[in-house]
Amino acid sequence: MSNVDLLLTTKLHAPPSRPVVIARPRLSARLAEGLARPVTLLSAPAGFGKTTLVSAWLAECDCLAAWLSLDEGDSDPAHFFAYLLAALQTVDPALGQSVQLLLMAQPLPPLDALTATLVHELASRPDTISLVLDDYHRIQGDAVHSILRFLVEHQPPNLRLILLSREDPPLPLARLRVRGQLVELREADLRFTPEEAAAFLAQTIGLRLPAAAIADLVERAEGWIAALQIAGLSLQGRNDAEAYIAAFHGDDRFLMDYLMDEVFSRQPPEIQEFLLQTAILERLCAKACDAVVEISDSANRESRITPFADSQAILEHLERANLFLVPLDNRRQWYRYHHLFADLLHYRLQRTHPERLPELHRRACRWYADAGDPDEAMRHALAIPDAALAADLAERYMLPMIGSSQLVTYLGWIGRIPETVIFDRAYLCAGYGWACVLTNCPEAAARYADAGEMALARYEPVRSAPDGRPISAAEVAGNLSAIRSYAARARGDMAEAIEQAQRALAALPPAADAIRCAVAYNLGMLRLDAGELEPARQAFYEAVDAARRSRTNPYVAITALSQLGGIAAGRGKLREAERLFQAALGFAADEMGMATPAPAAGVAHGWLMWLHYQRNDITGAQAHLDHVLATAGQTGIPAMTARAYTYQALLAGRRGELDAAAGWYDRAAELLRAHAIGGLVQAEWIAFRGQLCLRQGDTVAAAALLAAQGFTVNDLNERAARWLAPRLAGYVLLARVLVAQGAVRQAVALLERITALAEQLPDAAVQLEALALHAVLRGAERGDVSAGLPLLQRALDLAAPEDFARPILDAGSALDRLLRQAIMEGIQPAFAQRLLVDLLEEERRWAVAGQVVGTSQAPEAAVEIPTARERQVLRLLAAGLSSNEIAAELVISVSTARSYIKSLYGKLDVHGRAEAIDRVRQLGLL
Amino acid sequence: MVSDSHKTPAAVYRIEVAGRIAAERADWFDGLALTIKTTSEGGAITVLSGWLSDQAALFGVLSRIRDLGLRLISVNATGEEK
Repeated sequence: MSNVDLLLTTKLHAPPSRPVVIARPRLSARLAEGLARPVTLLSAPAGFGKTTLVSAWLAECDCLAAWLSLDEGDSDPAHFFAYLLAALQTVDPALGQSVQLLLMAQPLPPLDALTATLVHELASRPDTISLVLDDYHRIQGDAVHSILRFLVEHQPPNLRLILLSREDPPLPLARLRVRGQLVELREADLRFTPEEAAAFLAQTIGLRLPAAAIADLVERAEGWIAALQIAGLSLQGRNDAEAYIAAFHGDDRFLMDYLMDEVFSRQPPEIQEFLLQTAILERLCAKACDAVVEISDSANRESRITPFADSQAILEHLERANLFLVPLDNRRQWYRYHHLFADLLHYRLQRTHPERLPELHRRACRWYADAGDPDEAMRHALAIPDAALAADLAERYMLPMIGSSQLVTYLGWIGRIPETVIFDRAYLCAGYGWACVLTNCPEAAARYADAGEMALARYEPVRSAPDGRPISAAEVAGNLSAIRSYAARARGDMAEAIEQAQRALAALPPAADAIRCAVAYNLGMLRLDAGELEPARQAFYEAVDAARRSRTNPYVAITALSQLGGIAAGRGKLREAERLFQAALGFAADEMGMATPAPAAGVAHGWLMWLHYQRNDITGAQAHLDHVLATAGQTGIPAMTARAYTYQALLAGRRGELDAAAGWYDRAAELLRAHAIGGLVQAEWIAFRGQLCLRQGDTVAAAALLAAQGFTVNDLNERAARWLAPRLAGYVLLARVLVAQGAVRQAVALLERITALAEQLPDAAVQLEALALHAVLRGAERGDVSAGLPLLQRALDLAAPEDFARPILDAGSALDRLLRQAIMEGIQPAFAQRLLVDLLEEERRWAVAGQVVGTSQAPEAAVEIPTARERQVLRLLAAGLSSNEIAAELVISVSTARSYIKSLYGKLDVHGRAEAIDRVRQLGLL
Repeated sequence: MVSDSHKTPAAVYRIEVAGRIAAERADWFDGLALTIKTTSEGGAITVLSGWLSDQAALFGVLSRIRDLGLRLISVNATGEEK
């Protein structure tokens, strides 16, 4: 964004009311009607007073209005959103913050997501806001039109859209009309009536004419206000007004042209010069005019009135005389010419002194460049045309433009610079390369990177906006390597992508930390894809450090921290993972004192939800899930929403709310279908939904879910690990289905392969789930529960230090006996005890929900953990030894032995030896 | 053989706008020639005619007509010719 805020805020305010405002009550009434309709459209050619009418009406009516005057630069969606938010913030500075955070994401989120977030924010306000978009016809390309279409389609009831345009905008106007949702003011409405024209001439120029003359004038001009304005000017000082009007009444000359000539030629030479030379400026202030205009001496000499002191004086004179100038603010600082007149002046200059245009544009370019308005500066540079100057600007503004995602604008600039010029400048090649990368044109990006490399030897240091920082050759080289890396990745050459990323990191100097962050993150992702976890971690940490140092956009760093957390989670290190996800959530606030951008926050909360769930902390999981749902609602990213719904279902199921669960699963399924979502999100849905089916005894349904998405047993032999990795949850479900179908041996074989793969990836959650299930099956296979103990021990040893409960619990009620044995055997007894308590609670909930199917035992009370000594005693007791024999065997006193036995009876809830032995057998403890 | 004149119709165009525009104003319209015609009702129409290289050039002229506040009456492509 430009430094000169003053220049740009002129777009955000309705032009100040004219000193004289012609009352047009019939039109004001129509506009007031518009307050009750979503869309008001003023569609008429230039010069019909649209802007004047609306700005005057707004000043009178008591409504909250945001004003945005559009120009071609606003066709770039990032640019448009930035200005749109700025306009809304003139109403309320806190408005649009959620969107502003989203605009920091790279790449830019889908436009619909951005608009949806804004709509959401607007809808939650108590007041009604009118949004005025002036000069809408200047928008080109479909991006902003699609934003408007979305806005109109999802318009909250408390937003009024007022569009001013010279042509009908590409919106569903017919539909709006039919539904009575549109108020239109068209040319026929906006034309001056004779009464209005009479008032206009009388009040602005002090001209009073007989009604017949006015009527003739209005008829001739067809009510065209601009023409009437000029006619008024040319009638000033004439004492033959009626004759004059009669003369051109019968004439068929193009009125504007004729009147313009008239009025122009009656101006003093100094004014004429001023008008001609400043006509090229889009927005004028005195300083800009001073820079551009050269009043020749001859003009001064010819002038019979005292020459004007300076440009400011001339501008004020022009405004007072109603000569073509429209003020843009209340401070007499910024103006613009009425476009019609600027065009006619421009053509006049082109016809009379075309050789002066290049120099005028050059001066204008210099002034706007110094004033920090790259859009204007570039427009003038290209108009000269001076390719070298344009290239200089494109290089200077590369970082701010790319950094703020104004890619459409930037590509537009470069598109107008000849390729030979671009190829000669290494940094410009880099700029173009970045724009291509970010707009998904990797081949073009690679081409520009190559060209840049070749031009590197000739590189002359560029000073980058906004602070004039010099860009070293090393930094340029680093940029080019980074671009190469992205291009290589896009075409699937991962080795090359990694090498170029490393080269980029080596070359980039500290000052380029913002780029370093992005490159390091990219390298991390490449390493992750290649399964190289340690190098991936290092790269992600580097990205985080770079972001911390550069203190710019936190988006990438937050995502990197989440990736680091994901790696830790895969390894089963839940505590480390939690630390990292919390760091992700806190990064923006801690490092930069700002809120966390929504999609990144959503991802971090999603992980934390998963984490709490893995610890079987349903309440904690729900709390984070609520955050995810809020974010998903804001950003409208389908995969995030689908996953959130899936987990809503899952948690509801765990709480025993089975109907609610089914409903949420259905909503998630709709999204999966509508947006063709696959991968992990789909696999999780299948795994959780399928488990619910199995619980309810519906094996067929569970099997069907898997078959529909092509999960077969042989996949683990045939498919690559990378393909299988996100879908493993589905394969565990497949094993469960096989068990339910009685194919235990097949299930076990599958589980072995899953466990091996999960260990390799690593995916600790799947590994634990497979091990626990396998442990239960082995016991069933061998007819001896304890046969599964070694497998369960592997799982418990992995899971206990991290409280990684959920995957093991999913082995189901059959785990009961195995857990009790583990406790007895002293295998992670505290953790196993905790699991047993949770398991029993779950079984109780299922029984309550009336959905218990199959051979699950009546839930029993948990067993208190026996000490090691007590376990020894119990073994001997079960073997039939007496207390004395036990004491002798263990070399303890008989009374000690007896107290151990008493304690055991208490823990087993029995009252005698025979009962104790029975109990032990019943619980399958030994 | 499918004619590809619809792809990039480099063609001579004939554009009618209402009112009389002085011949010197041809520079407003990218070198198109201006001729005046009188209508049956006695009013004047200016015909802009000339070669335009493609759609973008055509729409450039149409935009300019709009921006100058002229009334567009008709647009015709009169066959290919350079």
